[in-house]
Amino acid sequence: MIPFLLRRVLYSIPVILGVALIVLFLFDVAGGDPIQIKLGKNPDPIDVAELRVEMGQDKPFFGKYVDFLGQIATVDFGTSWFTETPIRTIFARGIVPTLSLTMPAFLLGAGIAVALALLVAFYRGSMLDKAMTLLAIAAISISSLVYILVLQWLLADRWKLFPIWGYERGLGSLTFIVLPILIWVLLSVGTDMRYFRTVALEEIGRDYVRTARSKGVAEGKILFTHVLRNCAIPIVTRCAIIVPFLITGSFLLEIFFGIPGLGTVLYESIKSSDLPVIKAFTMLGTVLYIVFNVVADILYAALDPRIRLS
Amino acid sequence: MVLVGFGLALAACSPNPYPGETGKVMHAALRLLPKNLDPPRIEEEGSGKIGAQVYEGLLIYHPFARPYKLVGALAEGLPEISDDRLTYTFKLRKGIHFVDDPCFPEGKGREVTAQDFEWCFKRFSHPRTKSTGWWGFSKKITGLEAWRDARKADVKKMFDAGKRVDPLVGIEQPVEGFSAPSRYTFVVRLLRPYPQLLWFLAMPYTSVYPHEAVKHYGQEFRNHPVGTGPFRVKEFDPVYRVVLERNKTYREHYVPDPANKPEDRIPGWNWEEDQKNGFLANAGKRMPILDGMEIRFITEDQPRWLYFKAGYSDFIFPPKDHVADVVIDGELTPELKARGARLEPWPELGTVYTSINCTDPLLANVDLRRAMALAYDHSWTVEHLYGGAAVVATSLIPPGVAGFDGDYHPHHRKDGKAQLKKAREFMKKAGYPDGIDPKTGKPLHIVFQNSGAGPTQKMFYERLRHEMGELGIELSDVPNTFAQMTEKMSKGSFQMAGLAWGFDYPDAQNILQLLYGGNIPQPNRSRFKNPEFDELYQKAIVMEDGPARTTLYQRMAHIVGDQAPWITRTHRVRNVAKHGWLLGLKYTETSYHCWRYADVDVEKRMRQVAEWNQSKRWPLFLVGLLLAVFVGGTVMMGRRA
Amino acid sequence: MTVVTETLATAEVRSPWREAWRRYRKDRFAKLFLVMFGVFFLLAVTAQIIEFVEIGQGNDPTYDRSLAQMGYEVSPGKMFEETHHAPTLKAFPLGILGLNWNGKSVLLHVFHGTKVAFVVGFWGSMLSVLIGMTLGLMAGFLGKFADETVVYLYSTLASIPYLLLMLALAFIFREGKVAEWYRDLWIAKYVSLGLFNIIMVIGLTYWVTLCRLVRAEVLKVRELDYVNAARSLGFGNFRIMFKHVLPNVFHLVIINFSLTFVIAIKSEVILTFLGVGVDKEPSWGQMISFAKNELMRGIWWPLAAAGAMLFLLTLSVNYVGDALRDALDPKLKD
Repeated sequence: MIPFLLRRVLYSIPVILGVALIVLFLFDVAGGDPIQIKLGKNPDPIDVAELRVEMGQDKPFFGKYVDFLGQIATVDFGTSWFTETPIRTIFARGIVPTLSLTMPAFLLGAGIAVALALLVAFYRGSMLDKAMTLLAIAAISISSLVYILVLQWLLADRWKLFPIWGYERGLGSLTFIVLPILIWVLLSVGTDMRYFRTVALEEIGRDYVRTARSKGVAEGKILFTHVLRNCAIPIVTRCAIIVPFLITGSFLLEIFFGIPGLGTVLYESIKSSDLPVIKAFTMLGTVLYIVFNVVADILYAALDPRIRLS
Repeated sequence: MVLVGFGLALAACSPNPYPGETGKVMHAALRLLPKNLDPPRIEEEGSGKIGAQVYEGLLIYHPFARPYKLVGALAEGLPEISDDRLTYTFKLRKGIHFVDDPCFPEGKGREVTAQDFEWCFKRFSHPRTKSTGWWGFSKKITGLEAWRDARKADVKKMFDAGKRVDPLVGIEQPVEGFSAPSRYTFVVRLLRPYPQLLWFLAMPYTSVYPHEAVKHYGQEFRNHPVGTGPFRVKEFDPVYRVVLERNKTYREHYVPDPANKPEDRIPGWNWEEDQKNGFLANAGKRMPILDGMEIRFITEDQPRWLYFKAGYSDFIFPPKDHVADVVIDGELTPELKARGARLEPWPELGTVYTSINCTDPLLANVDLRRAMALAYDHSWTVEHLYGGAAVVATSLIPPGVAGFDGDYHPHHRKDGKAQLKKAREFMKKAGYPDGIDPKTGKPLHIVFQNSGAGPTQKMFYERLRHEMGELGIELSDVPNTFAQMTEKMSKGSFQMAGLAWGFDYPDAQNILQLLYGGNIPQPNRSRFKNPEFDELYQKAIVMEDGPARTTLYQRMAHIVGDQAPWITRTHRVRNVAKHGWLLGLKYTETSYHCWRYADVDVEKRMRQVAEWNQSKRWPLFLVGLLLAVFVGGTVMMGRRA
Repeated sequence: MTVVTETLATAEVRSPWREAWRRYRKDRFAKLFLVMFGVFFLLAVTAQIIEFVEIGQGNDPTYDRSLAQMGYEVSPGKMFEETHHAPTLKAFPLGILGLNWNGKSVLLHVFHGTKVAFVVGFWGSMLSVLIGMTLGLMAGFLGKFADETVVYLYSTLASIPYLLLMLALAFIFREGKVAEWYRDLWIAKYVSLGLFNIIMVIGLTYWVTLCRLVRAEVLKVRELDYVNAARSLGFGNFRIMFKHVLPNVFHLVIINFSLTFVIAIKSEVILTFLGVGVDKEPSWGQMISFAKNELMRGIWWPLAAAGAMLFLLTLSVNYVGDALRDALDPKLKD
């Protein structure tokens, strides 16, 4: 176990170096000049030159890269170029709203998907199975932007079932997050259901199910005790891989429904080429991705005694 | 289980996004996120609108008078100006206190004195503050450049010594130009006459704040404003909202009441007209009128408009470029009209123009620029792009600003229509008959930098391509984000760009500076250099407002019209849509202070909002029914199997 | 006699592709959606031909002409009654889906949007599949250094938050040197910068999944006897890779192509909404993102038309892709 972890940590170092290189290169080439934006419409050329030095923008690419690596090593990305808020504060403020939207949405979506998948696996080949599969494909064939625009207009404005936009910290957030959660579930449940259905069908085709069936064990019991337990491995590992995306959030849902989370931060920072925030965000995403991949592997091994980490 | 829980959550939902709010609170929605509430750094619209409720300076715009007039805010009135026009003496009001804040001993706000202004103006000028408004004092105040250079040296010394740079280093050093001879007297000394100073002193940059707060909050001061305005910040989340509450120690100040108080009738203000239009609904009330404001930052158009429609924001300002989307022939949609909302136009002090890079090898040709200017059809823009909510620009100076000349039309007839015949003659003169470059035999190709890819920008570009096509010029466009646009403009890597300028103050100098040869490349991004213009500019900027200066301004505007470094297009008439319960707001964006004079009829709002936003229950029953059918059907199938 | 011939014939056609097609045909829906896809394809090709002809002749595109210019009389008078006109039979056929913000036919716009969707979907997936397939083959087959490089490359790329990667690439290809270089190419006249932009973004972002799958499959295949046989015959790596190994993993490529196709046309919507997508010509994404200013005024038809087209095309590709997977990869089916 420990050598396994050690090896994964070592292996992640070149990945992080590579990610840093790619991101810095992309934004160094693509971003607008932040200094112009920062100094307003009538800047003094001397101030421009000074600020360039201060922001580390005067260095050659390699110098910037070394600075970036230093920031990664110290986990200190400084302050945002535009709001000049320390990046730690930005993340501390945004993480709760983001998670209060994505966690329940993810759990609800995954729960519904698993339940439906087992249901259609139970009735495989029937009309229900076909209808549900078609429905699932239809649900994921709609653009997320259409979902958001139409459901906000219909459910919040026309039918007034939900608030249009807003957020309250604490329990008060409940009324505000229901509609975005609903949209998240609609967007994700189709894909998840189809995946879990495949997993369940694969499991149902195995020998032990046939044996159990020939012994006269009720179909429902087979499904919910044996099959579900064995399906747990792919389900749990898939969920572990999704977790990093919960933290980076869904920026479309956040900006349309006023959830002051990390998705909004990311969107705004890309719009204004706010490099420190982008750097921090990328590194957070990358590290979480690596960590949860390892977690998935460990879970995989823990749930399936046949697999050993080596 | 999950479904039942979800159903419960659904039933618990109330559409009202302001749960548990009490008191008279005005609701507003901003389109842009505020960036920084530190006065010297307040530049963009979002911060400006918030800062104007929290901070005050020496002077303030009169809330109702048009053309705009300045009155005293923390100063008792306009300053005493010496005969050589180089010394301005301000008398401060006595007994003004900063708002109560933890940065003061025992949390009690202390009195504002002239020293506070001296300190704040020095901090504004300090190199470490990096104010975006430095141009307002730059090269105009006695001793300030030297002081600033000395501070730069201080900073460099600390930096070289490897010390953490104190953002206030050397601020205790005196500046000759700013002095406080007594507790309530503040004096500004100038290098040269600078009549625009008074306007600048009404901008958020020059507001007053206590040095205690800057020292106490440090970096975080930008999120913890401490001022003397009618409101104080109670909660601030830069990506979500700001909640303001009334400043209990606000100075004794009343909304002007010209009907009852003759001393409030200032010359040139047609107050009877304002009274007729309902702008004086709060006349005579003591400020702050409201208990607070809640301003939410709704960056997306759809939710922001739905908010207004549902009554969750009391007023809304259609974005500059989407007027035609929300205003139909100068009116709101019928549904909003039926709800008692009304649309109020207010002429924007600003100019929409196309900037031409005068150093571009092709466009340095003045006849070519003239031809292009003549091909523009401004009346089409007014009618189709702005739905009538704009006027054709005769020059770069808009109506309401001295120097405006309604009779001058260099490029077009008075109706703003294109003059293609004349334009084609200019093309010949320029050496490109029918738009063909004789060297290559191919049509000229020009790239237009568009300020976005939205409907308005697309529509304008399409039209422009058509108009340039009439001259034989091929046009292509590049849509830009704001950042990309600024970068290209400052580097000069553009040929033509669609831009707009909003006046910082109602003085034509503010827009003429953009074409002054000494300002290349910033802010003169057209890189226009004309000796006569530059000479007139230098002469005009030291002159007081008056017929002589107006003549110079007009002459300069005519030079611009003739040389066409800019193709001036329109002056927009902006709109604000207000609900019936919002009282006494005469809206303008030249000064954001207008918000503070508004009042809200909360009872009416509560009644109407409740009436408009009753949840429809039938969709819930429908969903329940569908679920029941689904579950029932599944169970039945299970039985059969 | 006849019986024998039949048996022989059946034995003859039992190639895996025919077999797959036989399995595919069994699903009625799969056939239906394949036909639907075909209709969309024809629409796209027609729109593309019209566009090329117009570019060749130097005419303004038809979709840019207002209905008034084309001789329809919708409701003469004020401009703002002419624009945003609801669907009407009075202006049959071009006005049946209504007019947009600019007084132009929504029908022509969704029609042209089909072309945009196919260009983006087809070339975007093509690029991504080419990259993913080649790298996957190389990594799996050549092993050693090539394998390590490719695995490193895709694990690095995969760990960057994909939205960030997409937007960064989108900004790069729309601005700066790449855009300038592209603008001077002859092809820029036919495929606008916005389209090229999305194609590059999709191609460079979405090859990772396929690369991973192909590599894993090749690792299995390369140990099989016939590959060893080919090797012992002295065939070169290149020949074995593309001639002998590739056909064995090609079903993965086809399935992945359909997935990427869907992702590409959905990304067009998001990228255009963010202002870094298609801007020179009408696209479904553009119509949907303009709806954010229209829907609240009750102008639903541009959104409905574009949304419905997008939905139907995505649905058919999704379903066809699913059916293809079941047909090509029978192990997955129960």
